[in-house]
Amino acid sequence: MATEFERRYPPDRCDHCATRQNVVVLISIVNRLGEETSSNARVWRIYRDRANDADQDVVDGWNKTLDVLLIFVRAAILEAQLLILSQAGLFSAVSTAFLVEV
Amino acid sequence: MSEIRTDGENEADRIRRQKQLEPDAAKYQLAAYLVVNFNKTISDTKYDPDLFVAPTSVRWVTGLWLTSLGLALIVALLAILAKQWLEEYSRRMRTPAASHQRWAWRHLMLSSGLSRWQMGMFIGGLPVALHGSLFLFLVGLAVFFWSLCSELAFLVLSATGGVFVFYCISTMAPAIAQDCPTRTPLLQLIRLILVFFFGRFGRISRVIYGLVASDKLVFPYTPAVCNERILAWMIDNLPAIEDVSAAVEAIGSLPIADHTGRPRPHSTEGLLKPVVMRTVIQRAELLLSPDDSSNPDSMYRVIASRRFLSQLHASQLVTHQISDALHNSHAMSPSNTVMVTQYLELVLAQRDYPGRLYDWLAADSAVLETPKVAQYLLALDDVMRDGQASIKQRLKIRTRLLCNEVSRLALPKEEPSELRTVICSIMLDLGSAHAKNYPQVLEETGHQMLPELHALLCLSYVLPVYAAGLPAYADVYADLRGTYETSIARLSSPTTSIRQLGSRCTIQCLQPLLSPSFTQTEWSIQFLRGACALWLRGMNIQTPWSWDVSAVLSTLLASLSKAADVVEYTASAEELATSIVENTVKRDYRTEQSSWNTAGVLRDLEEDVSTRTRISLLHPMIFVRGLPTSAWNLMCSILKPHQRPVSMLNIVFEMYVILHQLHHRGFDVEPMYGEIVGVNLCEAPWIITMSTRSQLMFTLKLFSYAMAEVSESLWNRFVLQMDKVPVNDWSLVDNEGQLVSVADLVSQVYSMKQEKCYVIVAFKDEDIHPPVPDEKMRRRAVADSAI
Repeated sequence: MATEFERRYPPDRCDHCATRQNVVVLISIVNRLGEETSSNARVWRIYRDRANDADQDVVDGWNKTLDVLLIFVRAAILEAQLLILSQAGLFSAVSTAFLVEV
Repeated sequence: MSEIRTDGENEADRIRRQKQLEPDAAKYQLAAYLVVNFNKTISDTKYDPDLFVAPTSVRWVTGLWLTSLGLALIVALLAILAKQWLEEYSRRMRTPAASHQRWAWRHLMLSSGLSRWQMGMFIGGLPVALHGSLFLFLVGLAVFFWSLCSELAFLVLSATGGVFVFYCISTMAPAIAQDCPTRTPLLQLIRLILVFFFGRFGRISRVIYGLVASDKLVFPYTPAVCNERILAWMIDNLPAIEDVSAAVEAIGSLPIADHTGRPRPHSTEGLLKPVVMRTVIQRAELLLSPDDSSNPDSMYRVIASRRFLSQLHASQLVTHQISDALHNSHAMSPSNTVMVTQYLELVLAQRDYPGRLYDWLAADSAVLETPKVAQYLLALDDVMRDGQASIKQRLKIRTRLLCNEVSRLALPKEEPSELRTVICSIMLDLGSAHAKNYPQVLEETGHQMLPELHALLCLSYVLPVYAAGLPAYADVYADLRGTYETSIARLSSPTTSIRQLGSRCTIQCLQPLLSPSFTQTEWSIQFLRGACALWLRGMNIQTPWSWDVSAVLSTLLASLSKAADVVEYTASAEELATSIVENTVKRDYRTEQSSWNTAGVLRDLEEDVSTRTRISLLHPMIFVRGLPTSAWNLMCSILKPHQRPVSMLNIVFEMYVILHQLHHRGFDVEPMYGEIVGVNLCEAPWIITMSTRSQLMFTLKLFSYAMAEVSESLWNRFVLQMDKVPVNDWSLVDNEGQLVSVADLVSQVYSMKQEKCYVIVAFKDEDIHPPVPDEKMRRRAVADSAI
């Protein structure tokens, strides 16, 4: 009956007192509870996955912006260069430098 | 490049060499030629390289274009840099960490760094710089054309201006109109700048801030209208039938409008607009078209929406189609029973069309097979609970007939079939309105069922009527009481099917029994005892602890707590509570939600349930989220000064463990330790009751805990109490009946390898009398316990 979530993130094992007369079992409960934020607890695994997803979204968005920007800058430079070429050659010094690149 | 090329000059090269910022080389040569050959000078400064000044427009154009180009290059550089940063960030996120926690810490630092150093703002600002570069270029273009052809320049300039105005407006528009899609990060930048510069000027800043700072979306519609539009869109546009079905199903939760379009009285938010309604109905009709009616699933989804159904009476066509589809569906699966139920509800909701249900059943019962009728009846049984009186009346005769029909069928009598039970309960329910006919009904139904179950069932119907003070039922009631008393003993091992019915009946009986107007207290106590016994036996069945048992138990407990003035009730409640707790502890109490209802009820029984019961309740309560506070309150009530001392050792230990948990959850438990230790050491009985080794171990464990954790003052108090204990009177006998010394026991406890036993060993060395530990020793004990 475990949900998808429980299967992906199984709860941290915790013994419950099967026999109440047994000291050791009781002590193990005592020590186990209160450690829900121990170094490999479930909550960190969940955090890791969720944070990774969130980061992925943000970083991908930024990367797309930057890609568009770079493509546009190249196009713009090309455009400017064509204009310059066809006109009085004001930018010939600059544009020749970029001609090499293109 | 032009210098490198050595082939003949072409047009492009020629043009490129014409640098307007430099003096014209050809003219310069001409001037030199004139001077040399003809000794003439040209007085135009244009031809004198030393005096040459480029025209203003040319300088402007050059400046603008170079700036534009430079800006674009800078943007490209920064964009490449930013891409590198992002790649580095992703790489660092992917780097493996020592543990998930370490990763989370690292992520916290690095991701908050992204926002702290305004990474998003930086990347959002890059396009803005590029926009600036473009505008500079356009302006330069306009200036360039100015010297060539002023008309063309005007055209370019006006186009540039227009674009600029459009840019400004489109950037700022989202600040005013929230749904404007032309939102860019620039707006956020502007907001920050404005707040930074004008933040200190109270009034201006408020105006500006109000203009640009509202980042929160304010929906122009009410939530109901939003939901409605979304659902309408889904129904209209989605091609997949599953999606549409889901949307249609969701319509059920929208506020209802009646067929006139006015909202129903209980709906406050809005109403389903007739337009949307029409769309929905059209789609529903599509779903129920003859081609689709063979697919029970899609039909079910349409019908499953209860509130949607109640709106459907606007379209009689749909109703008829549903009913036809139900008739035609040959495979009556259990899920179809739900459909039937929904349909019946729909028909019941139609005040102007009450006869359809009756007609339907009447027409079908002749044709349909009995199981189908039974299914209808089952559905009917659910509906009848709050059905209309007139329909009940009309159904009465019909049900009687059906009952006869069913009785003709050869069904094995030992098994109380669901069908029979349902029919009988319907008959009893219908018959209970007429005292005269009731014996007859009882007789008829009595043939159909197990006698004890019949008694319980009848009682559940008669008792409320009788308790309401109708003397006509006195005889019936007396008979039933007799039957019940003899039959309850026979019903010792309830099976699942009986349990379900029996729990319902028991709960139904409890209400009138415990009402103050019901005078026969003795009998109600008897009934309660019987019910308790019955359900406690039911609990011991090894099948999963079903909801109905726990439900009836919680109801019993709740009823008992209300009738707290009767002493016998309290005893029953205590017994019941103890059994529930024991059953609970045997199971995984983290998942048994139902037992927490019970625990919640028991919490209210503070005055009447003994300390033992309450403590055993505390134990499971502590582990459930949200309950520690309740446990804390309960604990406080147990340790009230006027309470009798807690003398059972394992209770003491349990209390200790509970306190330990509470301590972990941030409660200040130190005074409580004092109470426990104080109470138990002042009163000697705990030592006498300590007959087994395990109990002594508990005690020693407890003390060692207390010593390791509690404060100096408490420690002193503990030692004082310990001194009062008549140690010499201890006669400790272990499991084999051998006399053992305290020292042996202590060493046994120590051998269990618990570091916290350190202090115990210390008073072993001192032979019983524990020393008052100095600070150093106490710290060591704490340190050891922390390992």
